[in-house]
Amino acid sequence: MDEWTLLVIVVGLSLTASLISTKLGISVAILEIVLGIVAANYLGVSTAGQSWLPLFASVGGVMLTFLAGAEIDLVEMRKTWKASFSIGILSFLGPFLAAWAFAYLVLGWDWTASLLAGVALSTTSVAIVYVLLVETGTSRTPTGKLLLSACFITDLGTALALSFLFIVPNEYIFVLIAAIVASTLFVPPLFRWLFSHLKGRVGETPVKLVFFTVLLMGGIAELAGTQAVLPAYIIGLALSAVMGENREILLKLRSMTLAFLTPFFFVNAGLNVSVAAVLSGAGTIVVLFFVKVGAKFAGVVPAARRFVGHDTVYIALLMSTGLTFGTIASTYGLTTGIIDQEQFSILLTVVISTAILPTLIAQRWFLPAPAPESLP
Amino acid sequence: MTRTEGATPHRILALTDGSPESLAAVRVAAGLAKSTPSELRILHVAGLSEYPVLIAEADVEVADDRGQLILGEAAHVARSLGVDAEVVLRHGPAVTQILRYTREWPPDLIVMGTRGRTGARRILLGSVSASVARRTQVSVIFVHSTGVTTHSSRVGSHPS
Repeated sequence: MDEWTLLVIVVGLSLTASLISTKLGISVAILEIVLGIVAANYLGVSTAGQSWLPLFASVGGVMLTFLAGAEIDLVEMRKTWKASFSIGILSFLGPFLAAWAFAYLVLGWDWTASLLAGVALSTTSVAIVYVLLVETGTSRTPTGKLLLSACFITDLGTALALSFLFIVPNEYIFVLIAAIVASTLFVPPLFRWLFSHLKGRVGETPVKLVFFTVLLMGGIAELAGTQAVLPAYIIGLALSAVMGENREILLKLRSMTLAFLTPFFFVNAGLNVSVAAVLSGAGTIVVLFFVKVGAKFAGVVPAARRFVGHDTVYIALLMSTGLTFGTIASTYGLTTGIIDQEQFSILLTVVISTAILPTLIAQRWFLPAPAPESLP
Repeated sequence: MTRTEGATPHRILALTDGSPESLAAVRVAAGLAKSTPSELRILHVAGLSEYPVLIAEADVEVADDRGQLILGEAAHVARSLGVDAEVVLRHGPAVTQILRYTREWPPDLIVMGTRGRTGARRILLGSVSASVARRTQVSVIFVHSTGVTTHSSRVGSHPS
């Protein structure tokens, strides 16, 4: 299959996913993965010898991570740091340790593959949690803000683990650390000044500037023997206030990323799933799902009981959701050879299951009473 | 026995999604509210992308703006018939949120539009009206392009 044919197929699958999503109200990202699975397993679409697709997919994942970081509300996080750190860290550590131990001791995966499984299943989907909070009218309440902050902490834990557990360090690690520190301190004021001078001019310079900075940090991370998720997330976090002040630039970045970059990321993930592996590993998938959710409950419920005091099962279900970071971690594992296609297929299926099932259970049986401000 | 059988409704809940059928339902509900008389509330559930990858992708502000427009139009329809209705905006899966609201503010009667989806479209898209009718204990009036159908939870049937 030549490059153009694959390019058109991937973009076509993404377009189809968007059209179906509009009709059925199902996530575009999940549909892109599913259509990728169908294309690879039943329509003969192959990515063999196409090195551009993993690169594009990687850029999509990195930009998505940056945008996720840019959605962090640092002011709220500072207000609730103790509670959000407690819930967020336990929400990361519980499933990370449980999935890692289960993969290593029970499934017999090797050490690094087991660590990768732990990282991929440690995540919480901030965006899904946000939607569920909106549905209960709690997104703007102190509890809602606390939970969102906790989700960001969990994802930060995932990004740190992904960056440092599999690192093959070299001298560039010092360059990377210096670049991360410098970007955190100097990039926000510099970008604020640059945006005010460059906004509105031809050439979309501010958008290119953000792309360049994020990809430069990704390149340095690659040189340092790690990968781009952590610097992308931290730059996003550092620039969250500046991006909030420049919504037009943020909107353009988001449109470009969601329309043209993340489809490569999600469709590529689907194209690498083997249905045969999913079917033969169905039992493992079910057990891993319960390992993740069970460990989330074990970590989150006590912390939620202490810091929130109500709806602890609902909160644990929210923190059990996962999608983007789980897909990023799984794809990273496959790309670098830490896990094979069979393990990738199992992990990605568990990740997608955790996007859907905890959400449905929370909506169906554990919706808390509406927040006072949402009552009519 | 359902709450409205043989009784005058005191609380009427009209559901609207902005469609012509749902606006017709608001008209029917307003007419009933005026003649009985009853308190009328109009509920719109704004759908969100349930599994987004970014918070911004949930499009809450867009859904809110659209929801307010839909409710404004529905309230205007009720007002034109001489009924002041309270409007309520909720987010999320329509059926879940409708049933949830009926527990917070138990109505005596629900009035809703139905598009009469059949075949593959009904299987794929489901039917909010059918699901609500199946799962509520409250009597329901369906308003569709060809007329009005009543449904009581005791009857247990639903117009196709």
